[in-house]
Amino acid sequence: MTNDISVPIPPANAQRFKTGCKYCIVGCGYNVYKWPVGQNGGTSPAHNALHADLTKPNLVDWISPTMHGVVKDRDGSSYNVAIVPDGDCVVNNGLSSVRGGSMGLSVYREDAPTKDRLKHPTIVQHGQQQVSWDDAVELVAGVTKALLDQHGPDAIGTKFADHGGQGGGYEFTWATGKFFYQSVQTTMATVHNRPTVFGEPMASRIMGIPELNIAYKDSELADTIVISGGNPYADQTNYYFNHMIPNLRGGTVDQKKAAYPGKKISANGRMIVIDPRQTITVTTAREAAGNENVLHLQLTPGTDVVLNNAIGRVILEHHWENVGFIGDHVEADSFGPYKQSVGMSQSLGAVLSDAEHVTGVPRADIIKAAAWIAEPIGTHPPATLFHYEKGAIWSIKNWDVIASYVDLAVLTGNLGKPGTGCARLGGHQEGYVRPDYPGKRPGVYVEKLLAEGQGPKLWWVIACNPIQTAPNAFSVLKFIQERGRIVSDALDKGGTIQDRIKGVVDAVNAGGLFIVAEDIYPTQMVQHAHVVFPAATQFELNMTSINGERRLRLYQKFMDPPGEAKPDWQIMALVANRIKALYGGENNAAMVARFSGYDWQSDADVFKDASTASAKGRLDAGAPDGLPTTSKPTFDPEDISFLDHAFIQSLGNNGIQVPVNVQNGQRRGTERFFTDGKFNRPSGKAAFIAAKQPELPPEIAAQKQKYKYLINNGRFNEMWQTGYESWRMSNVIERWGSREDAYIELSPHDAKELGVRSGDVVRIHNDYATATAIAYVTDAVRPGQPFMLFAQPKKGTAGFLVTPHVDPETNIPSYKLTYAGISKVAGKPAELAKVSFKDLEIPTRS
Amino acid sequence: MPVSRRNFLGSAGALAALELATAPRPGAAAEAASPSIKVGRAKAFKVGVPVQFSYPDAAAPALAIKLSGPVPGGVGPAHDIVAYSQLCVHKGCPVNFNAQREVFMCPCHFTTYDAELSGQVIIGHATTNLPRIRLTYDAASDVVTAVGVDGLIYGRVNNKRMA
Repeated sequence: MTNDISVPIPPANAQRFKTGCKYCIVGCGYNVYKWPVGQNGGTSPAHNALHADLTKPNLVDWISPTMHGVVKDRDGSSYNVAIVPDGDCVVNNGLSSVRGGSMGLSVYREDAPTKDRLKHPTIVQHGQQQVSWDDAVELVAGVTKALLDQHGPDAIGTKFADHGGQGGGYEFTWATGKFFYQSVQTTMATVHNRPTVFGEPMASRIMGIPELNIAYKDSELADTIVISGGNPYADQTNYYFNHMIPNLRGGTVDQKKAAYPGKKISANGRMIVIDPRQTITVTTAREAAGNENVLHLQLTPGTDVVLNNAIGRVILEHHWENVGFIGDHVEADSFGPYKQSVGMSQSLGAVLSDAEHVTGVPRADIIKAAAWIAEPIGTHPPATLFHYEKGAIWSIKNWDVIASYVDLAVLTGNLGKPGTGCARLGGHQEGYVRPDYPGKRPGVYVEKLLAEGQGPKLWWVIACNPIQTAPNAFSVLKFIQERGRIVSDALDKGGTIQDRIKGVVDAVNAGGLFIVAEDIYPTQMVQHAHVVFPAATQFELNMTSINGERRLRLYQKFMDPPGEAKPDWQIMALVANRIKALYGGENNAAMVARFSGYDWQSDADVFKDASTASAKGRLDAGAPDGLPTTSKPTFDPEDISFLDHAFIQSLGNNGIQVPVNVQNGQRRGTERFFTDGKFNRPSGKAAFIAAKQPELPPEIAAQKQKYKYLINNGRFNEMWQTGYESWRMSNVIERWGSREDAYIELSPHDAKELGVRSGDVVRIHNDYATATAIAYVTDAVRPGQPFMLFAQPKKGTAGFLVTPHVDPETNIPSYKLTYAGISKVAGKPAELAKVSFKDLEIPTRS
Repeated sequence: MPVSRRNFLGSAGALAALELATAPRPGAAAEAASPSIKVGRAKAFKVGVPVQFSYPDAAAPALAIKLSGPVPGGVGPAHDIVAYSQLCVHKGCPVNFNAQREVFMCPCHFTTYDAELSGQVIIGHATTNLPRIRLTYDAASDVVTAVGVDGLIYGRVNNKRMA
């Protein structure tokens, strides 16, 4: 009977480890308990690791069934593990999200949906065949060297993750970056979710404002929090619940008074959300703060620049700009063009009339937003904290949308003081340290070259899945299949590894593409690879990662990787060392030198290597074409100088906020940026960028002409990234059924017109591809603007429908803007009979 | 890979059995099995009005509700009476019933559960369904009785009655 469910009790002598959540940028702290199966603790405080009286309900650090797992180490011993949110971590104070609170389900085990973790290297020979590490490494090293010798570095391409958390960390980014940028020296590199290796908020960096510049406590101190294109309830959960919501509920008044003595403080914080959808952030913020303290600017997708500039125009009209800040801390020659861009030569009425027409946001709300952002409260300007994420980053034109938003923070001087800042909310955690990228910004659109039959001949995909995430993803699947087939045919012939190296090189010289995948699960991408390297992941290695306030922690290893899987840094070292030996055999000293420096014995060694290189290693530095080259930053916001694993581990789950400086022999972190008034440009000042609302790009406009629906897209609460692990979590499968389809939110109006009910299967199609999804009818979306889950597996990939358009200044795609037709395919499938389709929103109290 | 709730909880249950078999805790034998606790008479229920009770002990508040129509697992003459633990399985806050949508809502972190569909999380940060109190109905006496729990009640290592 199911009421027999229980969770074993960790004994007092359980092993203890520290880790963070594997998933979102917030990086909540977790305590891990590990003990042998069968050696459980007892209910008295002295007999369990929680020191709790478990004869009574444990309301503090309850171990839920989804926090518990059973793991088997390589010695064959089975252990219980409990992964429990850390009450002493200042990030989450014991809170867990639906993602982090389910990590017990995410560990590799043979009797759970995670059982198909990649365990052994494979090489294709009529299907993927298990081989030894030696053979797999020999093949990849041999082909890499042959292509380097024949064609040079750009014959080797990569698409690789650049983040922290699961599938990343400083050790990961350094090892992979060192291999491709320093040893191979290729420019044919793109990052996991975009056709460039450069950062997403490039305009902000060029303005002197690195994008992770705040402390989470700033959201407790802000009078107004502005969020553009973000949904922190679902995407930065415990930043929202542990820091923003207390402010919205009026629980941080004392902290605000302490930060700003003498300032008039209103009871509840205020929040402005700029989003085409009425997200759960909007509805729950209203619950917390009251309707009167939440302003939802429900703009027409892609009209962000007009809206942001209109807010700036109102601020200037009322002289609410921060004259002192602009005079002292902003490059003077950038202000004039900014004022011009927001329409200072036009009347306020004309600007607002145009803005209302273009954005669909009532002019009264634009004026109110400007007032909440900048109108002085008594004699003090409000402390306003600006946040943004993918809704802005992936909108119509990355450069201008980000610039116009960050301009508002510069205009009002909301930088460097308690309760202020202008920062990404972030998606995944960070942890970037790589040698200089050998190419120029905005980088190479490698996937487009590959689709055109050009580009690299070896494509090494690490910890990402372009079949689900690339713009025009269907074209990626097509070239993988067509060009990959030529190499598969060669490998099907088998032979010695040397025979196969020759076969692969001949095949790629005949138009084939040799695909190497390094990952943890058999994703669609992995299934198409000629060589698969099975990687270890968080929990299975020691790794370091930073969260959205640059808080660096060490996530400890507490279990072995499955099978023969290895940490990515070991895999890169194996291949690099083999290439080095091959060149050594030819007495090629220059190439031996290029492939040297991989003698790491531990993850701590990799970190030490990266730390040494950190200060000089970061490259998102030069300016894009057409911009002044004087924009080189003066400090590295993710710098890990002066740090090592032992020190970081000693700091536990509170870690230290990078960059770190040494004062009087003590290492000190950086709580928030710009407190010294210094901005990250050579002048030490910030700069406005005059932004212009772009026309709809031609690829998107062509779809708009033919198809009725604007397909917005994004992620959902428990569905992490491409769903690579989420779809292996039993609670996610239970919630959403076993179909692995995306769902698409449709307004009741659209649903009625299409004859569709929640749960029905719909077809979404445009000139690029066709996808299917499950309809979820909700008034969170406006008519004509359905919202589809992004990057979902199998048939539901919104990326199939996204055009190949990128912002030419940044190579960032307009993922959020595509058009498609929708039609009903079938009624609700039987597998969805036990799936709730009640409205995802929370009704407001009005 | 399809894994039903039954499979998921089944494997956890099997594991629990293993744990008990290999490491019986002092006093385990003395713990009561799932008790039977009378909730009320079916005809006394009004649609959408929660009836508060406790199960399996006084520290485990629960809500029984007559829904607007029959649901799987519902009891009573119309198969429309259901019951759930009142403690949100995210952080243990007491949930409220929203009669209009027939959902439970947690006021702390806004998890919502579907009262018509086994307490499934619609959206929120709870990681399992709201534990459902299993009910039986005796037509002769019109009595609704709580007899067990599906899912682990917040704060507990098992659903056995606490002293």
